[in-house]
Amino acid sequence: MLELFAQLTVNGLVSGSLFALLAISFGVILGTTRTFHFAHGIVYTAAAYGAYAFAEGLSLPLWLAVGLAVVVAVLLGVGIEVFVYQPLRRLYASPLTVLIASLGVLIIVENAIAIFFSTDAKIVTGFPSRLIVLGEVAFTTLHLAMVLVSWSLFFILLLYLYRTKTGKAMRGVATSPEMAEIVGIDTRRVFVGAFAIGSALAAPAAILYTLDKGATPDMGVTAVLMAAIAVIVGGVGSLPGAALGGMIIGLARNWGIWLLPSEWQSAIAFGILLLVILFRPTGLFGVKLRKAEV
Amino acid sequence: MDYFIHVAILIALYTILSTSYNLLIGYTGLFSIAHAAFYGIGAYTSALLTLHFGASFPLALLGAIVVTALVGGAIGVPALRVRGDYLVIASFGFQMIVFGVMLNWLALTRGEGGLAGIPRPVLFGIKIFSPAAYLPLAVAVAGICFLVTWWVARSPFGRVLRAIREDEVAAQSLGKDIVYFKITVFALAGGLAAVAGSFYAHYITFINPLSFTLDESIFIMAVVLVGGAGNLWGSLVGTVALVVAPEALRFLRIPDAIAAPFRQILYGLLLVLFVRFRPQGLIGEHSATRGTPKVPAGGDKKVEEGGSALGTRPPQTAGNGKPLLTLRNVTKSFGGIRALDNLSLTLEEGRITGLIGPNGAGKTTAFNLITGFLEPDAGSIVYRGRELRGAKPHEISRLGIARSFQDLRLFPRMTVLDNVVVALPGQRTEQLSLVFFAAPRVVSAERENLRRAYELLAFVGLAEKAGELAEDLSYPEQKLLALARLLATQANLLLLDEPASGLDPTSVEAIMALIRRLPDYGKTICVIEHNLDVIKGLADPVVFLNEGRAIASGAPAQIMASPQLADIYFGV
Repeated sequence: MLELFAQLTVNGLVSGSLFALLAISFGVILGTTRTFHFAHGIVYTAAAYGAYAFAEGLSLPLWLAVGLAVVVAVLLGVGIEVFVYQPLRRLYASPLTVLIASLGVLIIVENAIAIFFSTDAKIVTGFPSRLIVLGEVAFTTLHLAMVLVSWSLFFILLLYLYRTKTGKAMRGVATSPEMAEIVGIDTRRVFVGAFAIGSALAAPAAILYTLDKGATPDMGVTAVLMAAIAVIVGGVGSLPGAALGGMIIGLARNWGIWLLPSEWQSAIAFGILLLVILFRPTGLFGVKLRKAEV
Repeated sequence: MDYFIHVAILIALYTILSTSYNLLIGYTGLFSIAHAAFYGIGAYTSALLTLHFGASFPLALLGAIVVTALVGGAIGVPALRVRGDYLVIASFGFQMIVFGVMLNWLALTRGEGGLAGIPRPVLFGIKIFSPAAYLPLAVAVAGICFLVTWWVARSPFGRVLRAIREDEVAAQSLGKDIVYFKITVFALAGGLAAVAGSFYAHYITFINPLSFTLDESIFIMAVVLVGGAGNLWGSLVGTVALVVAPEALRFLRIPDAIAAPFRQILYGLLLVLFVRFRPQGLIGEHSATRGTPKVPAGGDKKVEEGGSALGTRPPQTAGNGKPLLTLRNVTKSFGGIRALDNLSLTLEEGRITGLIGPNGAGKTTAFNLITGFLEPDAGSIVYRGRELRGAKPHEISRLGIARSFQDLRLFPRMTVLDNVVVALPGQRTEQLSLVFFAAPRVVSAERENLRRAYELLAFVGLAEKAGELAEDLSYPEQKLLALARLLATQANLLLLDEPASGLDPTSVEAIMALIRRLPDYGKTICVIEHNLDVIKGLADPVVFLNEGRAIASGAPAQIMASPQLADIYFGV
């Protein structure tokens, strides 16, 4: 019994790390630009298929395929910002409108991928995965890579945001776009930067997941949903909160295997979201908002 | 031939889905991506009731409506939270869960294999067998659902839905219990979607989860947005266009394997292009209703300016010195900043009290505390002997306290008339049950309300603009409309937040003249204003706020003569 619990906890920490990476990639965009970037899901998917196409289709070495997949993700993410969101913002479109456009982009690219690659799972090989047994629990080197990569990127992102000039500008825009404009920050460029960084962070999450489970065109929908839930659970605007939200979802989903019948599996993250919305609507690390901005 | 009948039946069913979804997204501004889940719950409930319990078709239909409406109401709960994003995610998750349960709860739904052998409906002893016989039934049901939706949308209930869409905070300040409205509209939309689901199940006689996917929800969304959100005829047009168009793809000889993703790409493109280039959809919300509304019945007798609509309280209460509202030692901090610091303040019945002080003195915060938008940290707020602390904004509004906003918070995409009508209190006809079951009462109450709204518009001089959208008014006119809307609440205590700011001198004069007349109608007023001429011309007494405290009060001349206060005020 205890062994099962320990194993599920390890699995939870591993998948939680990936969720955390995904959540900060989504959170850095939402926090900075206030854009509910649903199409982030498709940037994630595109990175996975990019890695597949370069590694398996063109037989490039895995490290090179990963690098190119990051480029694909950044180009797609920034392209969506420049060609879809920016024109809408210039029209003073409501957040709802931007959200609809985002959903539209998600559907278009997802189905284009489905037509081009068909819908069966695509496997990317080449990662030297080996089993590690530690006492009662087992995991693979790939799982270890998931944890290491996710947390390294998380700390690099924090360093960037707190130690560099452009990173500070990004936090400035996140806090108050108007004030940032006044002190001479080009918010449009910062927005593009946030999309580039968020998209670049989504790529490793997608590729690590694909190395483990394979890629399907609909992988991004679940991914963006989990990322959004993690960000809301952690508190919009807080990256450590988003990372924590990702860990909570990863652990809860794995512990849930123990407790719940499989048909309710998909409901676990949603249940956490519901609890947070009802009892702590600002999220775990969120700033307490005024009840109504009047 | 059967093929065309099939398409026609689909159009009828999707009309129900798109119009009910329009109630959510178009009328109430609730962005839910779970309509296919409601559709599916309705279909499964109806199918299971007939298959497992041998329920007759009408009974199964009723069961499906009730179950789905209950689920819909429950989904409305997260929608009560202020942020719209949460609802998107919650409904998105709900859609995924419902799909997952349909797919995996094998004992009940048989998973992907689906439920087969669902009986054809039997109505009045007649078994409806062929598609040709089903078509008139489907059209009739779609017609009834359309009428129901149309009636709800144009009822007082529907008017409040639009007000919530336009500005939730303002709707609350007018005494609308948005919790009730959101939950009810979700239940209603869910129930209507269940009608479509039930008729679908008993028409195809086989259902499986693949008919109720996220893609299906997005299709319904595309239909509504392409047709025009907030316009039911738009949904009808959108349904016809988007159900028929993909059928035309059959003639393009696209291989079956990619036909489905191809259709999805089409819907995605439509969403992106429409929000960018024609956000109002094919038929916009106001394309049909624009223009002067009919003068209400009985309007031939001249609408009395102001008249009874302003309130019936006799004027003898004016200036009797009785306190109407008392703040005692009220404190409110934001983080480390004390916005209000032991503020004590009394508003006397029938008087116009002026609230002045430098920016950040806590004037607007005081209004927010009185009206329940903020909760004080300490102190008491007593209105007519009743403690207001802990009461919700809409409850306080119903006690007779109403406030205006510095930034007006009108309902921009509603007509001037609707902006006022929606604020009239005690509209029991806003109850959805009455909208359905007491139609004549709704109609007569509506007539009376329109008359009262016209009176108020005449009072502020906007009667001619009644049919225009609030967003099309000039700024001074918008200020007048905000005043008319405030008066429509019939509140006895009016809190005016900078009613004259940003106006030219002539407009200032006009609005001051109106406000000055209000105590004659039994109104008590508290006015925040930076323009000291306005304060001098209106208010007595004047209370001077600084750093969250009332540091002086008295006659305006006396306050303004104090050099010490002038120093604070002008920051010398």
